[in-house]
Amino acid sequence: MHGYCGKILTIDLSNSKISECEMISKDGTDFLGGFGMNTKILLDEMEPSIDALSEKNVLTFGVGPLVGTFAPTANRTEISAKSPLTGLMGTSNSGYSWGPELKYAGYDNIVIKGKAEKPVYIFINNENVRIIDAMNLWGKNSWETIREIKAQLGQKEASVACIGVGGENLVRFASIENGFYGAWGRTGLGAVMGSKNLKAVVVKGNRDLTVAEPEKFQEAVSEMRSSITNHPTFKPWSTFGSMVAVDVNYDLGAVTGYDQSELVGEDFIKNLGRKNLLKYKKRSLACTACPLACSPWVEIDEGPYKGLKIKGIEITSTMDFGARLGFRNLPAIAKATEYFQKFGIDCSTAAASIGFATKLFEENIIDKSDTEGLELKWGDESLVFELMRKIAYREGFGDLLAEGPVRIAKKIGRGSEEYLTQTRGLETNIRDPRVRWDVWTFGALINPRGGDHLRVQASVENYKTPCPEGEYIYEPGLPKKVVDKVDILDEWKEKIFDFEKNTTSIPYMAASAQDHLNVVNSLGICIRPPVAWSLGPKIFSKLMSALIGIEYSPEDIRKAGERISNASRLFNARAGEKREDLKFAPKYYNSSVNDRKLDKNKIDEVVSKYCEAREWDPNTALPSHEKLKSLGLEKYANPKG
Amino acid sequence: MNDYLGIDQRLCTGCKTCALACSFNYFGVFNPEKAYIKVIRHEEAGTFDIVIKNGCIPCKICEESCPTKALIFIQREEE
Repeated sequence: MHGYCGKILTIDLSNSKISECEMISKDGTDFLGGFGMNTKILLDEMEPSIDALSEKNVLTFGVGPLVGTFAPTANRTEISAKSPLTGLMGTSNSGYSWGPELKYAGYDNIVIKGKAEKPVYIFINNENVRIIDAMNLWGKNSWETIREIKAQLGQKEASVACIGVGGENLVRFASIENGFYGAWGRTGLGAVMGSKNLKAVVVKGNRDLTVAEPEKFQEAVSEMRSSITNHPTFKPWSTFGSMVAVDVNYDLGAVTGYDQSELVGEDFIKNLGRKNLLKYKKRSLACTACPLACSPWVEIDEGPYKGLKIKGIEITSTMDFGARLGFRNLPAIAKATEYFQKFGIDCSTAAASIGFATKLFEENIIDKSDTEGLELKWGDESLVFELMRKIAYREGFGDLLAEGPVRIAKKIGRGSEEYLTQTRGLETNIRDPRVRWDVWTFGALINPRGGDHLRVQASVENYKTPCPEGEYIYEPGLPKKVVDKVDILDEWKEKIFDFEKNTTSIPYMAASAQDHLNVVNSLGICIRPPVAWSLGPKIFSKLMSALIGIEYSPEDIRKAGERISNASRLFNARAGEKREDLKFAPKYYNSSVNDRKLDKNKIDEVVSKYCEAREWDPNTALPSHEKLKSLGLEKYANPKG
Repeated sequence: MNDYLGIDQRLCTGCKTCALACSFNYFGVFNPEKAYIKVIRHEEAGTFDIVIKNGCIPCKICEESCPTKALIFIQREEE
C-alpha cells in the first residue's frame, strides 16, 4: 500500500495482547485516515453508551495518509475515544513529530482497549511493540515523564504522548501531552488514558513510506505549497502565530470576558494583542514539514516570571486566561501555559471551571464556605495557578473544579446552571455567539465533540459586515471574485452563495465547512487558516491519487468528508445526544451582552436548515436509511428510539 | 570544487523538510533516517543541530526545499 502503512495495531491492556491487522483498502478510500478512521474504529469497536472512564472505552490514535511525507503540515495525529467530559465523541488533534514517527514505525492507527492492572507505558519501535512497567513514572508531571522515558529507553529522538498527574487523577478535562509543548487538549482524553493505567505511548520508526506516483506527487505538493504560502493569511500567521487572531476577533467585537459576561475592553487588546507577543518571541518553531512555523519560542526576561522559556503563547490560552479569567499580561499567560502543560490539563476547560466558580462567587451563589476559604476574583494570577494545581491533584476545592463546569453546576445547584457557558458539554470560547453570529458560532451546535469552535470554520467569511440583528440563516455575502478563489465544489457553491441577494447560507456553509475540516483532520494536515482555507477537494484529489495510486475525484474527497460527518453524528446519537440537545447553554438565550442575546426558535430553524443541507430528518437530526446507504454507512443503523 | 553547507541557525525552524526532500529525491521514499541531512531537535530547549552525513553529493535539494532559506550551499574555491 502506498501512502498508508496498511496496518492497524491493537493493544488490549487487560490481557497484554498485542495484535496487528491489515487496513482494508476501502476503509482508506472511504474514511481517508486520522479523524475519519478513528470515527469508523470507534463505531466498530465500542458501544457509545458506555461509561467513558470504564475499561470498555476504546482509545484510538489515527494518522492520515499524507503524514510522514513532505506535504506541507502533514504531521497531525487525531486521538479519539468517548469523552469523559461531554459524554459525546471525544477527539483532539495535535502536530509536531508523533504522527510521522508512527508512520515510519509502520502503522496508520493504534487502538487501545481494556485496562492495565498497574501503570504501564507502550513503546512502539517499528514492529517491536512492548508494554513497559510505569510504576516509577506515576505521579510525575509530563515534562519529568518525557525526560525519564527517553533516558530509560536511550531514545532521545523518540516521540512521546503522555499524561501528567491530571490524567492519572481522572480530571475530566485532562489532556494527553504531545512532547514537551503540545497537547491533544480537548475533551478529556488524558483521563481516558489515566483510567487505563496508561502513562505514555512512545514511538520511533525508520521504515520507508512509499508513494505510488512520485513525480505527480511532487507536482501536487508544489501546488499545495504554493497555495499555502501565497494565501493572504500566511505572512501574518508566520509572524504572530495564532496570536494574529486575537486582534481579528477583538476587531469583530466577538470577544467577551469574565466568564463571558461582558465585552472585553481596550485594556484587553492593548496588553494581550498580537504586537505584545513580539516583545517575548525569540524565534519561530515548526512542526514536521510545516513552512508556516507558527509556534513562537518565548523567553520572559522581566517581571515575576523572569527566566521562563517556553514554546507557545497561543490565542486559545490568551482567550482562556486573558478574556475569561482577566489576566492582562502575556508573561502570566506563558506561566499558565507551563502549568497546564506540566499538569496535563486542557487550558480551556481548566480556565472555564475556574471562571465559572469565580462568576458564581461574584454573584454570591457560592462563598468561602464552598471554596476552602479562598476568595475568588478576576485576574488573580497566583490564585489561578494554585487552583490549577488543586485541580490536577484533585485536592480540596480542586476536586470539584476537576469535574468541569457542567458537573460543578449539578453539584452546587442554587440556579448556577444559568451561568454555564458550556454548549453540549464544552465551552464555547473565542467568539461569543450573542455578539457574533456566523458559521463559526453556529458550528458549536454541530461540532462532533461539543460546543467548541475548531471543527466548523468557513474557508472564507465576511469580516466587514456583521449579520444583522435577528437574522440567523444568512450572513452578508461575498464578492464572486473572492468566492471563485475558494476550493469548494461548484454544486456546493451554488447552495451556499447567492450573489444576487448577496448572502451566504450559514447552515449550508456550515455543512460544507465541517466536511472540509473532516477531510483536513483525516488526511493529517493542519487546520490553521493559511492551510485549511487555501485548500480543498480539487488539490486533495490530486495529492491522494498520486500518493495512493487510486484515482480520487474531488467529489470522492468531499463525499468522504460528508461520510465522516454522518458517522460522527451516529456515534453521538448512539451516545444519547438527541435533536433537542443541539442547543446553546441557557445563558446565551437568557442573558444579554451588549444588548444582544440569542433567539431560541430562530436558532432551531437554523438547525433544521442544517439538517436539510445534510438530507437528514429535521426532527431527529439523523440520516435516513437511503442516506446511510448512499454513503456506505448502512451497517451503522440509526440508534433505536 | 567542494561545496559546503552553510546553516543560518536563526532562520531554521526545525521543520525537517530538507531531510524529507533528501530521502525522497535519492531513494524515492520518505524516511528521514536515510537522508544525508539530519535535523536533531532539542525539543525542550527549542533548538536544533543540523548534521550532513557522509555520502552527500551535494545535490542541493535540501537548500531548494528549505522554506525559510536557512540552508545555503557555499562554493569553496579549489586551491
